[in-house]
Amino acid sequence: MARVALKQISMDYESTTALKNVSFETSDGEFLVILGPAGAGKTTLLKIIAGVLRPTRGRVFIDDQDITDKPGNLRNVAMTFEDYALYPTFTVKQNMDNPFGAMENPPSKEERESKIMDVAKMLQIDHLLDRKVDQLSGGQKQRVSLARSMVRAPQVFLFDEPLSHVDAKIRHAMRAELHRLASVLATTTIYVTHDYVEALSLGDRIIVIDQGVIQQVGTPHEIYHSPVNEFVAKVVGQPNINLFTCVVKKVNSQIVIESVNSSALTFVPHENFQEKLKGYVGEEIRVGIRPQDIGFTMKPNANNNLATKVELFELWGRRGMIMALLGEEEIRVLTDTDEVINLNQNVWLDLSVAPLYLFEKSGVKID
Amino acid sequence: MENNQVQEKKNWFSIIGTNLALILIFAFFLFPILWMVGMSFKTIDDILAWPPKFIFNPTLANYKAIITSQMELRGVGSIPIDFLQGFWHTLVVSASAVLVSVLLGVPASYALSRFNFKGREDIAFTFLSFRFGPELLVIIPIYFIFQRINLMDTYAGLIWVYQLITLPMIIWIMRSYVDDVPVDFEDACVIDGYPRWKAVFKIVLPIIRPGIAASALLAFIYAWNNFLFALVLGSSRTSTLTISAMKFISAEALRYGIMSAGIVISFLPILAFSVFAQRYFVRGLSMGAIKR
Repeated sequence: MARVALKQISMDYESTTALKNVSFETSDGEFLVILGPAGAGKTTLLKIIAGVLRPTRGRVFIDDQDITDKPGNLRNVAMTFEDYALYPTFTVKQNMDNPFGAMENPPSKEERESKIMDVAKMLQIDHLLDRKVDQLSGGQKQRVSLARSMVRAPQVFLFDEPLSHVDAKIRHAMRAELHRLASVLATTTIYVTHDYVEALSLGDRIIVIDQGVIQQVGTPHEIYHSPVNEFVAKVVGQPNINLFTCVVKKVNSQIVIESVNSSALTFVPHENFQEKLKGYVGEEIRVGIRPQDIGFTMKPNANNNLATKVELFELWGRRGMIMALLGEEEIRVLTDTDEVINLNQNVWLDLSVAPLYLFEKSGVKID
Repeated sequence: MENNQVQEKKNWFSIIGTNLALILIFAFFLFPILWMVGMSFKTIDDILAWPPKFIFNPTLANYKAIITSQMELRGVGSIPIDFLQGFWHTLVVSASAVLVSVLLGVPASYALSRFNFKGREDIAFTFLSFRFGPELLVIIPIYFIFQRINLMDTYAGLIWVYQLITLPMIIWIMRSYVDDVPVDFEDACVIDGYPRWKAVFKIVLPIIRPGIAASALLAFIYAWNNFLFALVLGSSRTSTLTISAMKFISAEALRYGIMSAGIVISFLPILAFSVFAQRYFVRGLSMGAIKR
């Protein structure tokens, strides 16, 4: 158990900057998820904590002890790699046994064996112990790499996209498994992913990172419901949040937001936004609406007042996504209808109850 | 159906054609070697006969001369020859040169692959450039240097100068090989608790072992075949096979038979070695060559 703290970490490569002034702190036993797209600097961050990369600037602490200058082999940290990094010349058992060999006072052979067996059983790989690594499937490799990190008791677990290369079914099961392990082990865990579902379901807290800069730190609820900028809003949610470029107008002493691309798309913001938006009259802002917050019917009625044309329809079992066209504005709507939806037919949308995510033109949340 | 038959016919044609072409190419390249093996079993009269004799009474006299180190002169007794000694000299010099190159070249290739230091590409290119320059270009200065520092006709001197042949080969093959080993393996091992150098020995070395075998074998062949360095910088104490073979050319006779027998003996170890290591060889060289 340990607290990890990063202070003003920057990492420069020859031509690029991977991390810029990254600071955060975990609490003891926390499950912290780092969420971001490819190339955001997530893996670099983990490697800095693990001690195999040295940051250009900044310090790393575990339990208030500065470990920036401590090489990786002297930190008690376990890490799994995106490509598993299982030693190809070793068997599964030898892979799992490797951390013991490095210990100053390694446990006895019997203790090692029983520990390896315990972990192997827990991860259901006990029948694979004598196999070579290249005889394993992706999901099995994943389990072995988790197992290798779990045979000893590290202060911190670092998981680098552990589920990104396993197929969808196993991913689901493994996610549940990780959930269970996290509560059993209660060890501080830093988990890197680009999958927002993993982030929202596993994380005690989430750090959203883009291009080496932390965008937002918060609980899954905060990240989903009050993103601090457009980037964070876009990173979570499937289908992607709708973002419209709009102009703020004042009509009869009331603030109204109207889409630049389609004048039919107008919003009357709630009272608490009315005051905040006064300063933006005449300016362009960005309005976000999540596809699942939009009401929709096949026929017009009192609420569903926006007539749109279906441009695209994707059905995923019982749910589906409509891409509806209103003037030139494309609106993504999540549906759970059983009705048949044809291309180019009209559907009516209700945006009046949807929570609005308002951002300045620069992408920063209007607060 | 008809289409299928056409297909089959075409297949037959292409199979026969391909094999015929392969046999021709094979014969073309193998003929000199086979002819030489034949010559090693012929008497000098058979060798010089015209038209060439394809069928003859084989003799082992040439091999006997090499093995007993006694060369019969027609009717007037025999003179000693030192061919087997040349064999020994070549073995010592080539094997030691390759050993030194592996010990120096593998760490060097690791450094050139992993570490990003100033002048990295320049250093790598310098090593490679040792292979462009003809040996004749440097042999005279090296000759004078060797004379000055008493390295003429010594094992150490030849092993040293053979590094020009063996070291670049090992460095360049091994560099692309190490490039192909993901750094994550080492990082994982460091995180497991091993210092970096131990991680390299434990994880990286076993992975690149086929590459080391392949590049060492290739370097060994080149060292074994070297002529010029051994000719100029060696003498009686270190004369190699290539030099010994030349000694069969003398003012009074060209001893084709014994020369052939000597060459057959000298290429047998390489041939055996190559066949034995063929699996390693193809895998080793191609694995390093493919970029992911």
